[in-house]
Amino acid sequence: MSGLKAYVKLTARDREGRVVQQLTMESRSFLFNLIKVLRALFSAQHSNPIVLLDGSEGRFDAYCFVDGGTMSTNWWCHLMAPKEDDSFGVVVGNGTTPVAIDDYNLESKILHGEGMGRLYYWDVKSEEVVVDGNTIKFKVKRVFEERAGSSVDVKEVGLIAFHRCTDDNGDTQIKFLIARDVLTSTVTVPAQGTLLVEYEISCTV
Amino acid sequence: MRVKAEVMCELLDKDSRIVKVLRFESRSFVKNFMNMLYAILCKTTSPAKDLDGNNTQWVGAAENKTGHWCHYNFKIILDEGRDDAGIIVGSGSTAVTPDDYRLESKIPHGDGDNQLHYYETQLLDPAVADGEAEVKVRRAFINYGSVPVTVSEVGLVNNPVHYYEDVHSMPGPRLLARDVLSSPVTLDPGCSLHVTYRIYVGV
Repeated sequence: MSGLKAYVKLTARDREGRVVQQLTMESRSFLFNLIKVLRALFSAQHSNPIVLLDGSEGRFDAYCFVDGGTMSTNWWCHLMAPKEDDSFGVVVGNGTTPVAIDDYNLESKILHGEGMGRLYYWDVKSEEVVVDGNTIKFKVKRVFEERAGSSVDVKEVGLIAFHRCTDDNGDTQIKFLIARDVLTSTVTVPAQGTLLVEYEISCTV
Repeated sequence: MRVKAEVMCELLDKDSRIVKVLRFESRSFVKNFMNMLYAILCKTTSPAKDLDGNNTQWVGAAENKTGHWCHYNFKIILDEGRDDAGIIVGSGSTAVTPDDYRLESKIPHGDGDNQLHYYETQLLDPAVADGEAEVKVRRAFINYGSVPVTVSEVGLVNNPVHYYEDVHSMPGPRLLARDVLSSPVTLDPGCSLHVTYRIYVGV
């Protein structure tokens, strides 16, 4: 093998639900931030540096401690954005600049919305880990919907994670990019159509 | 680009000179590792199996908890003398499978015959070099016994901590990766072995 691979699959459908375009490619996009997250988690320490979406440095707390009194909420690095939230999870854009290892945001994210040039962001969903022969895999996916009646081109996709640690040291909430891919060919979401973006993360022993 | 892992084993003689280097791409992330990622990325719980084969779980999120609470599930660094997590070594040679949850035959920590002294598992700062971003985990082992010890498998083990109201609800270290060496490494008395897992991505 192998290592940890990710495949990105995009499926565009017209307003009748018919598939009009599909693109599957191996993601080449895991970024330095993901390595920083793994390092932070392995260290189980506070205040690990991470680069935020605006390029500034944020703090990743991989240790949560409450000695009573604090209402604690903690999630490490998740992608499960609710509907209408384009600030994290699976996101799409129309940038074409090649991926760099230290990218910290999409080049040009397509915003959530129902107006021209926007896409309606549904909630991110997941499929749990399965073993298929010697391959272990799971999926995260999101549907985007065009509602303004004018097609939208998608040229880049990414994963933005949300980290929160509320404990006796305070409340840290940050969002940061862990993967970005520039598509090998543009995928067009038809007017009143939808786009399904699926990331399949796998490894083979 | 993929997230890859590379294993480097450096054998040093009793004068600390490198006498053998084994460097290869790890083929070994196991189901526990993927379930860990799934729990983290998807804000959920997922199955885990500890080194003793007990079924437990990863906890990727905890919300609105009150009371005494301590939570750091993914720790790998470990003190000297502990052979229950961090990088561990063994003498098994059975091929890796997705469901592996322990080494086939772990070599225990100790200073006697057929044991190895386990030093601290260290975690280096993340770095970027030549277009690759990497983090390294490493550990040194020394044979203080009087007979040779042969290492033929290595593993990466996590030691989760998850206390709630002083009850440890995530017991048991979990194997994240296991690799069988392409050629075994034998530590004569006084020799040491440095094992490094380099986890990296490139664009």
